[in-house]
Amino acid sequence: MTNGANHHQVLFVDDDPDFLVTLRDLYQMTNGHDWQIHSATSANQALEILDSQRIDLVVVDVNMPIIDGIQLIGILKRRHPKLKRAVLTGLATPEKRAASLANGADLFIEKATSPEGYNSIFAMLAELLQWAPREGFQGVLRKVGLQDVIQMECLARNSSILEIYNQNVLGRIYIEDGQLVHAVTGEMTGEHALYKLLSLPGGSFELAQFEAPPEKTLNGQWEMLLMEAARVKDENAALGKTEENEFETPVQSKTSARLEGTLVCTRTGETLFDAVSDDSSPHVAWLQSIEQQALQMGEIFPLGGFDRLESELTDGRVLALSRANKLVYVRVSTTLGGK
Amino acid sequence: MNEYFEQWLDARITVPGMLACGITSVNMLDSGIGAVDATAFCRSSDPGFSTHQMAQVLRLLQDTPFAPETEPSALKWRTWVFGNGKIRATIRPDGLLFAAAVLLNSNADQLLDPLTEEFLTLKTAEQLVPQ
Repeated sequence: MTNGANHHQVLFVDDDPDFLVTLRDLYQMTNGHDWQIHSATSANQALEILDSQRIDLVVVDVNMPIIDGIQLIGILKRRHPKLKRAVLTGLATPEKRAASLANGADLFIEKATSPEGYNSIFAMLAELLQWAPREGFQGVLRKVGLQDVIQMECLARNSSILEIYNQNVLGRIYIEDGQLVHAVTGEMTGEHALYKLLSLPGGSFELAQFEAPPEKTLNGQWEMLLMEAARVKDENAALGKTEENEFETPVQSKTSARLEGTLVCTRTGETLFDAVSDDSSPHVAWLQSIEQQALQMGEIFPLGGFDRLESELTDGRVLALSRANKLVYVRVSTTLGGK
Repeated sequence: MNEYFEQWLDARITVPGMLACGITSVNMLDSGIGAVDATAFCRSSDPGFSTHQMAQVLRLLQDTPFAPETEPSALKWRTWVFGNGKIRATIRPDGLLFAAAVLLNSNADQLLDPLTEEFLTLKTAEQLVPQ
């Protein structure tokens, strides 16, 4: 066995030692010596090997005594997050596939029944070894709201670029240090571009690594921009204007708005961010009572999951948002501008 | 005067997308009378949104503060936005509470603001005092 540092280090974990020997022989017969193959017959043995030397890829069997392969994948994800992980099983079921991927497997493969089949498996594992994950994450608009992603990025004061695309639209939203600084789609930039992108009924997005925008076209508070985007989206949806070419952004609104305060707390009442007052307790209590009331109303009327409460005031608006495990309070004051 | 409100509700429930709507008096509910006859001022256009359910929602609405207790400004209305619909509620200085459940992106959804304004400015409305 060679010990070259340039070789990929691959660890196979299976409680059947004969299978491990066969696997090594098959690989060496058909693929040569590009990989340095290590073997372990239990999870404990695998963990010892991982603690003592560099491993690039671990391939785990599911059915093993004491700690099964799916549990081992979960442990590896926590202990060795950069390690590539694959599951190789003789009994592939949709449940095992889902559990494996959910626990952190990058690949789920069924054991082959012929040497040719193992060639395909080795090719897939070689692909996995070459694969380099991009920064950020991807999503589908119908499953994850763009507003939610922006909100997370802004609350975490991250810098990133949200790339959005569907059949007809390609756009970018730039977030710098937790503030929305630029949006562009086609010829459109600034707030109009932002509202258009946030009104898309579907598509995909990718959160890319930040790079400086060509210009800065957004300068409002992100909470206010998102709130206005939600209003524009509602208006366009009510008018049946969901297609890009029908989309209308408000013509120079005569109303100007100013963010008065924002508060974020957990459902259990722990304040995470408070830009409202010294004492957050009245707002936290109100948010909790609103969510409770929304749940009760949801039990009476089958209207779907609660999204937000909009309170229209004589001089502004208060929003109570329910997002994942968080409740958000936003207060905006509005004043009529000159005619 | 009750008949007046009933006619107003009869007309509004026909707007496409209006699932249910109702009016009650906060004072009446406080007295416990609302539990008996609040459904009389509720309308429904969908079996899943009955007048009885509407009355339950009206009762629920009066229990929660419209804004945090520190909020200095007067409230015009509140809108709960759910995945498939909205519930709009507003209360007049004379204690009359109006609420409507509408389908998201429907005609009724589009007309929520003018409809609420209409309720708030009804000139002939007086207290919904029973008897």
